[in-house]
Amino acid sequence: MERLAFDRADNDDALIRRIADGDSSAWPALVERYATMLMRCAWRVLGDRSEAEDVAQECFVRLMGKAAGWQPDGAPLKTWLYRVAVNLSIDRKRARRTRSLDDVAEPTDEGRGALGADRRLDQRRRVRDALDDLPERQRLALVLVHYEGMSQQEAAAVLALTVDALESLLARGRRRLRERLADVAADLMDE
Amino acid sequence: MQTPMSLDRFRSIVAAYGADPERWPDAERDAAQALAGRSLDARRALDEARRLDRTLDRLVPPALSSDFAARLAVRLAAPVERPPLLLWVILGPAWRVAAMALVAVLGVYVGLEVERRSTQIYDDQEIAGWMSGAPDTMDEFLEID
Repeated sequence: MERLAFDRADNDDALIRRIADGDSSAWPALVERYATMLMRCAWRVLGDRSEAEDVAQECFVRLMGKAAGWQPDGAPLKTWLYRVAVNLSIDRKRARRTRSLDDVAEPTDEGRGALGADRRLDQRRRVRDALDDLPERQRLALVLVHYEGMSQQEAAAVLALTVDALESLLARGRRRLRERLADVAADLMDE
Repeated sequence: MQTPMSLDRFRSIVAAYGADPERWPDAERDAAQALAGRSLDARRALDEARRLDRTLDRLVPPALSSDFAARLAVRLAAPVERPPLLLWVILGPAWRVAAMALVAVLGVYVGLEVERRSTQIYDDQEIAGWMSGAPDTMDEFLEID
């Protein structure tokens, strides 16, 4: 219990130092802090939970390799991890050029009726498709800012862009999505 | 004293970041919210952005698998896989250059040697030496009594 309290209080750099020293008890805190966000980010690029979890795991494996040479004054861990997740996801996406929609059909609508569930599933698929059809950098900017709730500075750092360039990508991406998803938006207004 | 925001800038912010003030740039959030409070046009832009936000929020991510941490623990504890060209990885850049140079030199040597042997012209004395122990007849060659 004492250990857990210490973990929560530890900052990322301290946890990485412990990992570099071979203290594996530092992992649970890092995994709890970052696993979900890495998987979500990868899933929004790849559309497949299994692959997204592979990406999240690979991020931690790479962190283990990086721990010994970690520079606390470099990019914050969160930025570094997102950058690795984004790059791995892009590599995978480019490699396969196809997309699984399996995970879009998350069964979260139990008890609301089959028709409503089908409709919601269709809406998700269309949002997924519209996001997928965006140019890569626009999609990534939207994933990081809209879905991951990153600040402009954080997202710009992950994508190695200026804040102005990020804003431009976001505006163009949202404009395309608004055009593409106008009928879904209208559908949602009726609900 | 806060600088008032123009409607154009407000529209740009909302077009890029959507309707949720949490996503707006920190430095401009207060001014943007103040404008939204007094401008009908700003609120219209906000409503339009909110519709898209709501649509995008339809894409709900799945939860992390319950065995994620256990699988990761196995992966982190596993010995690092050694690639087949381990030596190549271990060797630093200077050694890699030296290794490549060595391979190149060996390749050239082997190539020249093969070429030399296949085109060598032997003199009569060398040929006579080889033939001195050779059988005189085909039967002898085949060791037929």
